[in-house]
Amino acid sequence: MAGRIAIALVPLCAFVHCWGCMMAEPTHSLADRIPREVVGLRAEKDSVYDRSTLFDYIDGGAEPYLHYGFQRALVRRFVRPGQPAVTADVFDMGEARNAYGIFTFEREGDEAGIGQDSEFEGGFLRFWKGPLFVSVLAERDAPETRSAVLEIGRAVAGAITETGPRPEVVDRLPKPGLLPNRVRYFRDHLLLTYHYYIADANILHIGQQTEVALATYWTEKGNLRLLLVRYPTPQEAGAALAEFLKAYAPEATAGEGVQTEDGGWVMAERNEELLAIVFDAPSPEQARSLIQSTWATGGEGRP
Amino acid sequence: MKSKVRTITRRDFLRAGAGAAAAAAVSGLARPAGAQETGEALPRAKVVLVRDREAVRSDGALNAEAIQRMADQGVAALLDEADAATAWRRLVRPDDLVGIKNNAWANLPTPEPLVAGLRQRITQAGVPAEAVRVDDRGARQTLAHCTALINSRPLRTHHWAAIGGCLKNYVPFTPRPSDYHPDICADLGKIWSLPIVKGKTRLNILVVLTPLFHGRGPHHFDRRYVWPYGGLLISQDPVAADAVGIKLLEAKRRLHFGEERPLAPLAKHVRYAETRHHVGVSDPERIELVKIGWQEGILI
Repeated sequence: MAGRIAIALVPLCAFVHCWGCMMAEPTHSLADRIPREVVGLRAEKDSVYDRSTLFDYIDGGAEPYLHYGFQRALVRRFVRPGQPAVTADVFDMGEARNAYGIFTFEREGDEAGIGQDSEFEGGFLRFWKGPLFVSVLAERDAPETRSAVLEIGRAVAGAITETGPRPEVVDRLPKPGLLPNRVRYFRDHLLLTYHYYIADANILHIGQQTEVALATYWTEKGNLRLLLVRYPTPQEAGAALAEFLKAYAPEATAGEGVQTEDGGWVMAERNEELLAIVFDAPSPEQARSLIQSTWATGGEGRP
Repeated sequence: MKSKVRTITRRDFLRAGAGAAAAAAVSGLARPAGAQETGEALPRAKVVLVRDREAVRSDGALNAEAIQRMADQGVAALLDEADAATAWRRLVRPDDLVGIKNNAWANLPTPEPLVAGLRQRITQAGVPAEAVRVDDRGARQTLAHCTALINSRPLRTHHWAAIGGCLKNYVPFTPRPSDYHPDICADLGKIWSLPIVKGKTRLNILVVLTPLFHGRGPHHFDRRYVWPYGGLLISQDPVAADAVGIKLLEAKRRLHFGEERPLAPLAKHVRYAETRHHVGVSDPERIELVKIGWQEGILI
């Protein structure tokens, strides 16, 4: 059913005009990707934002998007008399890995089967597909608005023809115990700080040339974290490991764990250009086991 | 003499006590530069938390009468005065041009009943009604010439700065707010040294009637993460008010999520407001927290 709705709505894109012409890249025209009417809700006039104006729309909230390479956004509000409005925000993040990254930025909910990965929680839908990240939210959460949010999401996803690969470093994460909705992907020290504070300074040398996956694993004795970083070269990975140990765990050596002040164990090890660090492990054995599993995980399942 | 700057890490916060929740109490991290070397007494601050179970009604509506009563009690307690009228006469003078810097964020604005009550108390202290202004986004223009500022906004988590509190509320006084976004808004305290606001703030009210303890979506708002706490945090020190606010939000997050979701390490701007910009006190150990009223579910 959902598939038929999406297919049926794609031709509606042909009626879209004006805003698509205003986009910098016609092939990435955001307006063309969203239908103007879905399940009886009609679109109001669109709003379009770029890197310099995004703050006008999400005052104070724009920074994470900018750090993930945001290019432009189309905001389309759907209304019907007597029903709460539903707003679809379509963010062009430039690259699939950026769209995936901003999707993981605050992923918490269960998969909704829309786009390449999605979540639907509390009446709020988020998904990514290709270079686009999409959020759909009703002004008021209610059973009728939940179905409208999902239908609009499916319609938008159906109108997007591109797909893109998930970052390879994410597929290197061992699967047993992994909490899928607690995986974060980024290439920015500040985003690491946001998700899991390690240090004020960038002691892991994380930047646009690095690929970072931060994952949470469930264990009976509590959650532990795995930080997996891919550097451009083994030498750079080695330098980052050395600085990390010096600043964070001076009593440790590579591959040997240290118990931190909260009782958890931290362990770091390099394998070629990859650096794996386990935090909050209940025991050194569990930290070591997760690192070994990481080296044994070759990115299978990569799309 | 060259001083060696040591990298602050998560472990510094862990050493401070019971996990990252006590992070803001890391005394070594939250001291003004040079204070230890010179042996001078470290500054202290006072924050009053006043709560009333009637402030937020069961349907979510705010009770203007209760809010006014709380503000009065809090201001009097802050200044150790017997009544609010006397306290307000110490805060503003009849010849002041007073600006109430509120917050107009649509999802969680400074409550109108609070602003109305502040306006009333300011005029009762002798300030002419026409000399009291209220603004948020236009503050750089409308409040520029004020001689006294009352800073009031709701407490909430924030996408980038970790919290939106008293310090952050002065961003509209800057010509380009994005200049203060680098390093997760680490230097918001610098704003408080700009001539447009420096030395003018007489009172900070961090509204915790219905704080937001977790955000979702591009606009970082989800009504599920707002709770009726029914309180006001009142202080003459914006840093101290924010530091207490962080403790409150962390406590609520711990209770709700069943795990540590610390904010203090992320809220660099609160730490740095003391250590770099000398705006106030960020170390909870040096903040006297006076609690008045409703105790149930107080969390801190």
